[in-house]
This record gives sequence, structure tokens and C-alpha cells, in this order.
Amino acid sequence: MIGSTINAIEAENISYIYPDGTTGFRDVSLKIGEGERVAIIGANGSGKSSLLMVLSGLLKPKTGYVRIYGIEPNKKNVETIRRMVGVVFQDPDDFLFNPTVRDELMYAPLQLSWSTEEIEKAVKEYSEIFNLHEILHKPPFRLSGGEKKKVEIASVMIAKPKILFLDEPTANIDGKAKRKIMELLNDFNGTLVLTSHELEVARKLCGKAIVMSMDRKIMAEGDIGLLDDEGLLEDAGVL
Amino acid sequence: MIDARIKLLGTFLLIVLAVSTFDPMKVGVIFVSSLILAAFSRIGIKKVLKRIWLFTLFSFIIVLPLTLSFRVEDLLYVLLFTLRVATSLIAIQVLILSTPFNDIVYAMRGLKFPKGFVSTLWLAYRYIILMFTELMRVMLARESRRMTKGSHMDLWRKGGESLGLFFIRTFERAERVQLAMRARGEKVVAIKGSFTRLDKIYILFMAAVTLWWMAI
Amino acid sequence: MHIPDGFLDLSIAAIFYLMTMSVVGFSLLKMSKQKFNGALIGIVAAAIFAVQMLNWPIPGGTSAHFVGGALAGILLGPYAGCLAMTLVLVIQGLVFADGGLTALGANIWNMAVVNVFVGYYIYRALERTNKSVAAFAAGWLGITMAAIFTGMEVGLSSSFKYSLTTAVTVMGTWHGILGIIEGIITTSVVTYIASMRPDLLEGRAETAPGKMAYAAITVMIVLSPLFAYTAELVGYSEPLENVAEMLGAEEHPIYEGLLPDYTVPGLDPYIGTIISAVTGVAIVMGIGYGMRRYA
Repeated sequence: MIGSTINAIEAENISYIYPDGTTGFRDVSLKIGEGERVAIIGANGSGKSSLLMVLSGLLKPKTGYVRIYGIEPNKKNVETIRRMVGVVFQDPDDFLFNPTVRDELMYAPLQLSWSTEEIEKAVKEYSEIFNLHEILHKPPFRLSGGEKKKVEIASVMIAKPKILFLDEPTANIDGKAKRKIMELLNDFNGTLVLTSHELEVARKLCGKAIVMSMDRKIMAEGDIGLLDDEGLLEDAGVL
Repeated sequence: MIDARIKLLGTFLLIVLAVSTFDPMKVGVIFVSSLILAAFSRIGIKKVLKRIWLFTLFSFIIVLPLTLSFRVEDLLYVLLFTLRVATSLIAIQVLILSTPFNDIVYAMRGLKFPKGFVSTLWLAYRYIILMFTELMRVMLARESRRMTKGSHMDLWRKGGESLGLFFIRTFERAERVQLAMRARGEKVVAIKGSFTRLDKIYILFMAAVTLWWMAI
Repeated sequence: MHIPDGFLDLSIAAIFYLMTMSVVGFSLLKMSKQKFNGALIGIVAAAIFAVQMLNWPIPGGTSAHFVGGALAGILLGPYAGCLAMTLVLVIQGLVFADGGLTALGANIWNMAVVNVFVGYYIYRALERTNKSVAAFAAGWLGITMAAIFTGMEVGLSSSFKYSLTTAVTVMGTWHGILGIIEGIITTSVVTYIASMRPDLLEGRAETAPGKMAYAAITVMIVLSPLFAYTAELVGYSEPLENVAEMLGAEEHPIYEGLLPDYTVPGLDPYIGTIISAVTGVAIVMGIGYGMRRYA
């Protein structure tokens, strides 16, 4: 993609096959420039989620390579990569495991050995931004879906990643919480890559779009205006 | 398709015959019979061998040091031991490759295995893939939050915590499934009824193999 | 730890089928008398199956698997835990050819009976003293005991030409070391669940066996090597196949473990090993029982 000098993500001819043998996606090559906001659009089972996991360096592609700021993720550089990358999973229940919301927020900073003051400051800041004061000492699994999502995103953003990956950030979240999450993501100033099957979310948050086909390949990519092409979206099984 | 009840019993019989003797001829008879079954079951010998060679080699290597005695009977033992293992593996692979697991479950019910056991077995089998993908998501999410390399000990402990989360979710899912089962009911079909001609040929084959095994 | 076909003598395989069937059958009976929650047992079995597929890195670059027998006992109680592990082993045997068909009885005995019941009792005995220690000991000793039983069954079989001492030492030592990881992971799972959903760990007391059943299963576990030994003697005199003659009595130890010897001097090595193994089991069970009463 044109318009940016530095590539945050570069993928060459990647494919992914699940351990049980089913194909995640295949033959994907793409470049995402620093600061770009990209929506990956596709029907259920089109490989969006596995593409996101591979691009973020969590899953190793079966063919080809992924580079994050020029570095190919491997066992040795895991610290470098994880400091640049934040991943928000679709189901917060997969993601949240600490006894309280406060512990969730502190989880990454503690690993990064921030000082106590720095951690306190960050927890305060992010619980203000995400409006988590009242639930700070509650166990995450007792929260509502929208609250869980906010906690999840806050726990990722607190570590200040340069690239934020989000898998269906607004799935199963309604009304007010959804608007709040969209607002917060809009304020993020870094590279943003998200998957969604909600076109509205993609249009509001992203400048570019990648459309995945039912045979798990890239069908089209370009500016977000791509999503106005109803014929294309019908072929992709989104509409 | 051969009745899964007979196949289950036939496979068991073949393996019993194979592992109850060290007579080269007898083991050889069962080995050849298993290969014949593989060839006639549309699976093909090649596919079966591809699945068994690694474990056969493993078993061979385990007993290989016994040949250091340089005695003929020890060498013979090592070869026969490996052949017995290989024969049993072929027999079970033929069963597995030619019989969907639900048929095996129905066959068990047909063979009067306890109902609670069979229906729970069927349920467990159906949920394996789902539970595995769920486990992978939990582990992957946890991995995404790892900022430092950490020691082995760290990995085991944190991995264990992820498993803890996974098991909590397992219990919660079980509660939902139990409710759904109560709402919908569940029944495991049992294979019943008479044998087809193919079944009878299979039984005849097994009887012939057994007689041959006993005769030599 | 899954025994394939061809490693066990048929007589030993048969004896373990009988013992396994009685314990699993009793568990089924017990569960159906209470509220039989098939969904819970089946889905936890599927979960354990999935968990067993994970590779845990260990120092030296290789990896180990988590078995989860003790954990099943702790989470579900011994009967349901035994059933869940049985399902896992049946599926492994009949879908993935992991573990033999004739050896299935022995495999269930080791991993669904010995591992689950030993793990469960150790946990129950030490739980009130310290949950972490209890879970570690349960995970570690449960798997080590299962491995020792595997070694015994294979070692007693004349089909497997290595001596009983060798088989038990190799299995016991190797899994005694790997078992430490099993213990650490079990601890981690249990303490995590205890901190997040303590209710899941309670209420298992109602599924605890009564004194009679407890005694019966313990006696069976303790005596099972003796049964196996007897079965082997019977196997020796089988007129159809004189396996013993074919194999000779020669022994070829390939590996002298960290433990110097399992045998009691002056005794038949088989009997010596059995006595030391039985003593080991008895001591563990005794400590467990004592702790439960006086802790």
C-alpha cells in the first residue's frame, strides 16, 4: 500500500493451516504502513481471525514470512515484538484471567518492570479513560460483556503498543459500550488492524480495507471506499 | 460396510492371536491376514504402513539392545517382538481407518456396553475439537500477553494458570450442555439386526484365520 | 505411558481388564445412583484429551505431556474422574491407536484408576494442611505411581524380555522426574481455580467413596501386582504356548537408574520388586489416611 514510508507490517506469500489440517487462509501478501488503519472484512470462516493472529506474530505462518517493523517474529525476539504489538481477542473470556480488573491493568506493566509510581499512574490514567473506577476491584468474569471488552482493550493499550490488532472488537456488544469503544479506538494513534463483519465499524475506524473471499484468500484491497461495492461484498459473502 | 460390531470383535481376535504367541509362523499368518484385510478394505496397504512404521521402529529400538548378546534366539526374539507389535498396529489401523467413531460407539451399544458409558463416550468424542480450539484460544491469548521470556518454571506455572482458566470454562460449558441435553434429550443408537453377506464373509475369513493359526 | 499391543502377556492383560472393569463398573454404578452428570464427565474428558495434546517445553530442548489423572480426580471426585480418564483412553485407543486394544485394560488401570485414585486421596489428605503442597504431591505421585504400575505390568510380562527391575526402574525414574512438571502444573491449575472459583473444588466431598469402597479399591490397587504375578505364573504353564521356554530366563538390563536397586536381598527378584512396590503404595496410602485423620 502506498502513502507511508515505513512498513509496520509486511507479509509475503503467507498461509496458515490449523493443526487439524483445515486451511486458515492462503497466498496472502500485504504491506501495512505505519499509522495506517486497516479493516479485514470477510464472512465467517474466511480466515480473518487466523490472518490477524499470524500478522501479529502469535501464530507462525506455514509458508512465507511476516515482518513487524522489519523483524521476523521468532522465539528469541519475543520481547521486542510483544512490546510493539498489542492483540485484543474476540472473546474477553479467553483473555482475562486475573482476580481483579486492577490486576488485569497491571499485568503488562508489571512484566515490563515499570516502577510502582509509573504503574499507579498508568492504572489511574487508563481507568479514567475507560471509565473503570467502579469495577476496578471486581473479578473480570463477573462483568457485563461491554465492561469486559473495555477492560480487555485497556489492558492491552496500557502497555502502549505501536500496533494494535483487534479481532471483532464490537462483536456481541451493544449500544452505549459500543460507541464508547469506537470512540476510544478512534483516539488511538498508532497502526490499527482489525477484523469485523460489521461494515459500519470498519467505515468509521479505518482508512483501508482488505476483503477476504470464501476460499480464504485476499479478494480485494484498497481504500475503505471498497466497502461501497455491493457486488464485491456479496461475492465475499458479507452482504 | 461391514457391521462395526463384528469388526470390533474381529480386530480384537486378530490382536489376541498375534500377541499370544512367539511362533514365527503363527505371527506371520496374522501379519499376512491383517495386510489382506487392509488391501481388501479399500484403505490400501500403503496408507496403513505409513501410519504404523514410526511406532514399529520405536518398538524395535526399545528391544534392539537385546541383540547385543549375539545369540540367534535373541535376534529372533527382537524381530518377532517387532512383528507382533506391527501386526497389532495394522489390525487396529484397519479398524480405525474403515470405521467412523460413531459406528464404533453404536457397536459398543449393540454389544451391550453400559448405556451411561457409551453416551458419555460419544459426547466426549464430539466435543474434542471444540475443546481443543477453545484451549488454543486461551493459550494464545495468554501468550499474547507475555512480555518477557521467562524460565521453564515460569512457563509451566503460567501455562498451568491458563489451564485453570480453561477448566473453569469447561465446567461452565458443561453446565450449559447439560441444560441443553435436558431440553432436547439424547439417545445413542445401537447397531442391531442381522448380518449382511459381507459380514458373513468377514466372519468366515476370521474363522479361517483362527483355524489356520491353530493348525500350524 | 500408553502400553501398545504386544508388550503385555495375554494373562496379564486379562487380569487388568477384569480389575479395570470392576472399578470402572463400580464408578458407573456409583455415578448413576447419584445424579449422573454425563455432560460434565464427557466434556471434562474432552478437555483433558485436548490438554494432553499440548507440548510443554522442558530443559534440554524436548517436550513433555501433561496427563491430568490426579487433576481429574481433584476436579470431579474419584469416580467421575476415573470415568473421564477412561473415556480419554478409549478414544485415544480407538481413534488414534494410542495404546493397544488388548492393553486397554492395563492402560485404564494405570492412568484412570491408579493415577486418579492415588492423586485424589493424596490431595484430600493434604488439602487442609496446604492446598499447593497437596496438589503438587497428588500430581507428582499420581503419575509416578501410574508409571511404576506400567513398568510392573510390562516387566512381569515375559513377552517383554527386559527384567521387571529394569522396566520399573526406567518407568519410575523417568516419570518420577517428569512427574515434577505434572505436579507443578497440577498445583498451578488447582490454586488458580481455588482463587477464582473455589466453589468448583468444593462439593466433591459428596462424591467421595464410602469407607468400604475406599478400602476395596485401595486393596485392589495394592494387590494388583500380585494378581499380575499370579496371572503370569498361570501364563507360564499355558500348554498351548510355552512362552517361557522360548524366551529363556536371561535378563539384559539396559539401564541402571538413579535408584540402586528395587529388590529386597535374598528374595526372588520378582517378588522383591513386588514387595517394595506394594510397600511403597501402602506407605503412600497409609500416610494419606493418617494425614486425613489427624491433620
